[in-house]
Amino acid sequence: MIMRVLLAMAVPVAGILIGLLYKGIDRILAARMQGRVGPPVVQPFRDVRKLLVKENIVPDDAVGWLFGSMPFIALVSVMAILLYLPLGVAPVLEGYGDLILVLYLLIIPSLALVLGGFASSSPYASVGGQREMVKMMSYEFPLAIAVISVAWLLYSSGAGNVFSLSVISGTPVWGLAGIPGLAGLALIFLCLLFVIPGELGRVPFDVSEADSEIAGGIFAEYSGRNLALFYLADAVKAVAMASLAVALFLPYTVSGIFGLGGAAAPAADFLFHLLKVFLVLFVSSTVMRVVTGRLAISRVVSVYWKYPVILSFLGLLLIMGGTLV
Amino acid sequence: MMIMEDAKKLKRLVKSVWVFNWFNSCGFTEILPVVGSRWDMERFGMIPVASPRHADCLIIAGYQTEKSIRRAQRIYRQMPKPAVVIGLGSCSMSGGMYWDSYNTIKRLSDYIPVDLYIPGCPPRPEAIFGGIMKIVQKVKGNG
Amino acid sequence: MDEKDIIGKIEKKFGIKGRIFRERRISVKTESDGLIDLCRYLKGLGFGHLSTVSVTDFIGDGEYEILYFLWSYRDDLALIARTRISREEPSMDSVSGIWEEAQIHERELHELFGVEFRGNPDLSGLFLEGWDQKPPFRKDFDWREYVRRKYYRNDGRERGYFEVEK
Repeated sequence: MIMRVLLAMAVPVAGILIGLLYKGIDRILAARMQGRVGPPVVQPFRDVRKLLVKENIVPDDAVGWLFGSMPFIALVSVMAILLYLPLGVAPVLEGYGDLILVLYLLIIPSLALVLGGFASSSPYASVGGQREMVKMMSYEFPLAIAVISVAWLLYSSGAGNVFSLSVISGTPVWGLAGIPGLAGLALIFLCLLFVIPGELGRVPFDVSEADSEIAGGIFAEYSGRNLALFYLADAVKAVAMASLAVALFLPYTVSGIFGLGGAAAPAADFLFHLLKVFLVLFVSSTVMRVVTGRLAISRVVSVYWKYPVILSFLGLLLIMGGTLV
Repeated sequence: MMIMEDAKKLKRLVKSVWVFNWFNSCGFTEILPVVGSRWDMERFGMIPVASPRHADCLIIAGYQTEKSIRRAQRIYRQMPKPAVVIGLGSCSMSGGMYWDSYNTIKRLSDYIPVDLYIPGCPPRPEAIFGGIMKIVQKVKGNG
Repeated sequence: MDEKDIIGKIEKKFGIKGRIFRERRISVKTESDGLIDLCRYLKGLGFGHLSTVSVTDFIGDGEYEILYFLWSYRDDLALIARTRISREEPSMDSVSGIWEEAQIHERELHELFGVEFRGNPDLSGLFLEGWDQKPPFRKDFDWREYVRRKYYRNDGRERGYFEVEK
């Protein structure tokens, strides 16, 4: 019990540090890919320290309590998600929440962004908030199909409570449905990798915080400490989202291979989990950010509702066919 | 002058400066390579931002007319302090090429408190970096 | 149609002689009250593109000369239509009913020269804010004296340090 409370305090802090570190790695890798030199890896820490020093301006016409509380809610909800996800080891709050809860909790940071955008009294922020809402509606569909496919596959293979994250991360799904299932799962994994930049607000899906179009979008009126909290929430959300993808599709542990025991096993698994999270973020966030341009909001909806939906349904059909064979 | 106040805050600020550009026409042409790949400004932690609320540094590049200097004053008021203002080019120092025009301003510090002027028409990217390094050294040197 | 054909047609309809001063460049000069009919006719002849409207200040004659630079897509030639109006009370019919793009050019000329274009939907200012002098492009406006007086006074600055004017 005490262990659980201590872990529940340590994991969010670790999430913040790891999230900022990954943000720095992402920036320097993206810069190298673009032929530049790039900032040092600790640059996001400096950014947050600088933002905490700046004045915190609340516009006169803004809804004060919403404006000031939304950054807190965004950061707190993202930290709460980390407590339910398996980070190489069993989740901290193991019996208390399952996959459906995580999916619901994932809506809250985006909703906090939207409300924060509408609470600032700026037309740019309202446009950013509307775009974020439309984007949320678009990417929830492929995300839901991906999650349901994995849960269905585990259910038809006779696992226990299929929505519990410990069960999901205990049973790798790749071999459960034969060759067609393998192809289907690969398609669905691809679609999930495509959802991740939409959820995190990276290019090509950063329409809501578009710099050149709507002058900062949702964050147009935020400054100082509020902006620092949103920045941290964005960093932690990347870790949470990638951990979810890893828990669904790549739940392998490394301590069994090396035969580690005692205290070394959780540490090795945790580090291996960080490596997997880095790979997922590298492919879906960094590389995609460098090679594509920003999509317009109408195209965001059509891109999410056409190709990922068709591909993931095809994947689901392949999985179903694989289990019948 | 902004530079002399809040030395401790400024020390944190110079490690990660977020820049907002306000320009009319020709002053910005030499800031583009500074942002781009060749003279990369992100290796010092500087990124261009789109909203003055996020900015630490307001770069006023080139001439300002009577109409646009009022907007520039409004933008300066919107920036959260501590902030740094840089006047880029000879047009902000003395009017530059437009010294006898009826509609441009002749000295930027009559309207906004300026911390650094960078001469040139427009200044080369190396000159812009030299100017920014002066600010960094001054902040580091004081306390 | 050729340049000579167009000049012939204009001369037949309006009785004014055009001038070919280069290959594919024609110039036509008319009185100020006949200009709007001429422009309608020219639009019918195929001059569908108005490049710009411009004013030259002839301070010796006491007149403004207004020039309309037209281009014909059909025949690939340019025509300059000129007219003269008085300098003290410059007023002219607007051609923005014929070519819509004339509206903003006439707005600029109203601000810089003081020419009033009757029929233009919007003649508000474009570049100058808080301007209380003569229109600045007139030749009798001494802009050097104005700049010296406003920006380079030696007897103390008239603006305070960081004053916001709105």
